[in-house]
Amino acid sequence: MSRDNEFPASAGPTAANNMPAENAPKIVEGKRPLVSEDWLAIIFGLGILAVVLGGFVFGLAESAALKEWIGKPGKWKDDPISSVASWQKMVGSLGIIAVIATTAASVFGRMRAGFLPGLVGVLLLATLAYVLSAQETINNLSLEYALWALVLGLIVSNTVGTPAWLRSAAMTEFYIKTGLVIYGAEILFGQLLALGLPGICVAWIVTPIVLITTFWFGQKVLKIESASLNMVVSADMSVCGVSAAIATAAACKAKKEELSLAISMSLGFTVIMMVVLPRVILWLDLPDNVGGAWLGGTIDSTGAVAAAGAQLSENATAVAITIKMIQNILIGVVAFAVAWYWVRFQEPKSESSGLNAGDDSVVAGRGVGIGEVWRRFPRFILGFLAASIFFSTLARSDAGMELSEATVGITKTFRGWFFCMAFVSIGLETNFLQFARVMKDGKPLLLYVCGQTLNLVLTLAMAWVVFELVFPGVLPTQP
Amino acid sequence: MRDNVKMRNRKLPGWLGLLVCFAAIGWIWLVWLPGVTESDRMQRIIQRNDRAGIDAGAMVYTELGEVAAVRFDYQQGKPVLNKFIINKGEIARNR
Repeated sequence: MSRDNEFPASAGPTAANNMPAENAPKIVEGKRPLVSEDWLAIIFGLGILAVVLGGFVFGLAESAALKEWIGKPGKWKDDPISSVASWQKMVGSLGIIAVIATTAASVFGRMRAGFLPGLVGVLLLATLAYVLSAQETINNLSLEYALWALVLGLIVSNTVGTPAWLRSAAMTEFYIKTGLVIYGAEILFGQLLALGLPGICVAWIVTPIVLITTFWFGQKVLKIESASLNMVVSADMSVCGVSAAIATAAACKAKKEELSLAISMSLGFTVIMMVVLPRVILWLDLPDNVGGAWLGGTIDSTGAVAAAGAQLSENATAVAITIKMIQNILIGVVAFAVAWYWVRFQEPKSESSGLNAGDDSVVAGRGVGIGEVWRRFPRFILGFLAASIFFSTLARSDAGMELSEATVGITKTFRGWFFCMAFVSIGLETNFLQFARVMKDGKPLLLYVCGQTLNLVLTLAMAWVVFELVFPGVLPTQP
Repeated sequence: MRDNVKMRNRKLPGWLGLLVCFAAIGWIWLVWLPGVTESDRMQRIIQRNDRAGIDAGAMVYTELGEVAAVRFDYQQGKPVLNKFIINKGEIARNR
């Protein structure tokens, strides 16, 4: 199977020499870049975090002042212009992102005559995607910007076709990796204990069991042809929707249409579950903590979890949000584990049956050695983890927590823009035939439904056991 | 070969397809959705989320809005909500 659309491997100069042609960094045109894509994503991602944090630490910036210049389109009901009325926010955010994207394109040798118009095109489509997602009904149905970014890109590529000048700015992998490094600052390990042992049991025991079982089911029972599609759908469904899908897809180098399919299914089921699950909880008359934990552990999208909890009670909302927050923290661990598993076992397996058959570095059934794992490992994951560990440590004190929250309050906007541009780019590079191929036999949908069913059963059982049997009375109370 | 050419000729020209798609988006977002937003059912949902400080379109918990400030303190081994700003009457209505 052709892997033309996959996220390229982390490729240093040495790695690139040894890679099969199909795995070589596709961003390089003509000559090898000075810095690999992963390292550049780390430099820009950590750079943005450092500049914003430094601004607060040295008193050079104030949160309110920065928010005047950094933002995204706001909510609207019937006048989309009001969504972008705060023009300086658009200029500030898009200006900084344009500088970063242009620098990256120069490093990667992509700076052609059409790049700048292409970048403007991608930014305009990303802005339009945000505006579409900010309409009040769409926003309250939890239909996130990622979906509309993808749809807009697909419309262009499947009607007039993506022109070369627009395609030149569609740097999907760079946008996703930079966004993920910035996202690392939002994953604070200290919040793991927010609900004590019951929370950990629901979010950190059930979730990996569902993830691994669903992946195994897809491989062994459904026999899904693409292991990366199987992994992205499994992580998307079991961890926390779009953000988990993005991180896992980048970690296992999934094809772009595989990521697109996973998030489309996830957002579709999120709307259904957000409406149906609270009614089922009311009908079953489940206690607040059990119902909240069930919502938090099973509904993919974080916003939908809160909206579903709000249909029940304050306690249920609090438990649901906290369980989802603890699940969010799992993304870092899952991304690292998937990246390691992929370079150690999956890539050698596919290579030993393909181009690299007979490669001495591949030991059948045992994967590759540690040195080879390090050479292939996607480096941006390290930037993501470094940001997460640093900000988790910083947030241990009250003052540090304030700094961390102020920083993330600004940087999450950049992360959002990078993800939005990534989904526009994916849409621009995908056609409906590729979608149809990925959806072959309906197996991904079946995988999602079976995995989510297991998730619903196990999460409810675990929530009931920990909150009602093992730790009875551990119900969050109001002061 | 000839069939392929005929098929191609029967397809909408690309620019027309693009125009139709964007016209559909315009009609849905500028005409249909504002009407849906005004409906009683949708207004109830929107107001409930607004009062609770929930951004239902959040991808991760840092985007949730004011409700993301939910924190628990432990008092005698039990988690106690110590910073929660949800409008109690609105959210607890179903219980």
